[in-house]
Amino acid sequence: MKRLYVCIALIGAVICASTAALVLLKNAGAELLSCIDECLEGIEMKDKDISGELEALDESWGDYYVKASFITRSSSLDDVSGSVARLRSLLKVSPDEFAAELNSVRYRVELLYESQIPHWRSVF
Amino acid sequence: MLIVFFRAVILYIVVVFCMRLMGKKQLGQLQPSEFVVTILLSNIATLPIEDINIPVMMGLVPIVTIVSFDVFISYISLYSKGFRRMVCGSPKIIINEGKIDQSLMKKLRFTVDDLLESLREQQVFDIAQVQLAVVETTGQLSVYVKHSKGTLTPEDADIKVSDDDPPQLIIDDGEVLNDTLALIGFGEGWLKHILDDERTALDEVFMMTCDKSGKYNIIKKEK
Repeated sequence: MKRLYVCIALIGAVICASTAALVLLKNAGAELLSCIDECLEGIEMKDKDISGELEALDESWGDYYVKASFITRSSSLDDVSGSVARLRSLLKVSPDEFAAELNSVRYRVELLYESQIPHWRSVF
Repeated sequence: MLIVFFRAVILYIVVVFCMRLMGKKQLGQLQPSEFVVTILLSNIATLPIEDINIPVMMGLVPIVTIVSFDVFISYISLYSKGFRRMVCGSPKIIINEGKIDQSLMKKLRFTVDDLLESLREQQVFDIAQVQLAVVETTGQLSVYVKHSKGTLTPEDADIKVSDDDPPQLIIDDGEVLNDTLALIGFGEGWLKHILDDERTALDEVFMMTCDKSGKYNIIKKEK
């Protein structure tokens, strides 16, 4: 009977940890997405300096990366890291490309969260 | 490299823990469901060790889940005979009253070679000796030899013998196993007395066995 209780506890822990991971990823993602929105708003106001927002975005991505790396393949996170690292140079060259890259980061972050939700299609 | 090392250590500990959680039965003959679990575990555990792109949690979660479900299933099997038959199958009598059930052999896809090989594993080299043979759910063959062909026992010969327990290991590499010593009904005082009689120090003993009657055997360490 002891084994049964240990297994029930383990399954409970797995379900709790999986749910907590989803919530953690959602919260970290929401913070990152708000940083992206601030950068996009800043770029729309042509003469605004958005280096502060970019700094916050970098930090937010670093935080998100650490949390997401526990539950998702690091190769897909590394792709987004590459895009985030390119943002500063893109901002100097072309604001349009900067916005496009930012939207791409946004899309991939949303996709990362979405891919962790157990929909029928993802389970099967 | 270090990541792979740490992952291997973590997954080794988890898999050993999980095998212990599945119980001793897992280490011997495997039921079909346990066989599946063992194959799955070995496969799942290697993926996050080899590929550092995969989070180690992606290995731990399925291992814990599969083992836990296996334990649940074994508990349900304990209480439901129908469920047990569904998961583990049931033993099949392949030889009854010395007669081979050929239709069952076909059903089990058991060839004559398989049957003879399984009999030989049971030290039966002549099929005419078999009264009853059962294919267990683990796939192993259990054989009951005809009385007329069996080994003569003291009971058959009407010889009275006492049913004693086998000798137990009481000293292992110079270390006294107090639990076993108590089990056969002796204490450290008795052991010291025996060792003094044999003019042997405890740390010179490689192994010592003894039964309940006090009959002992000492093997000294090689110098």
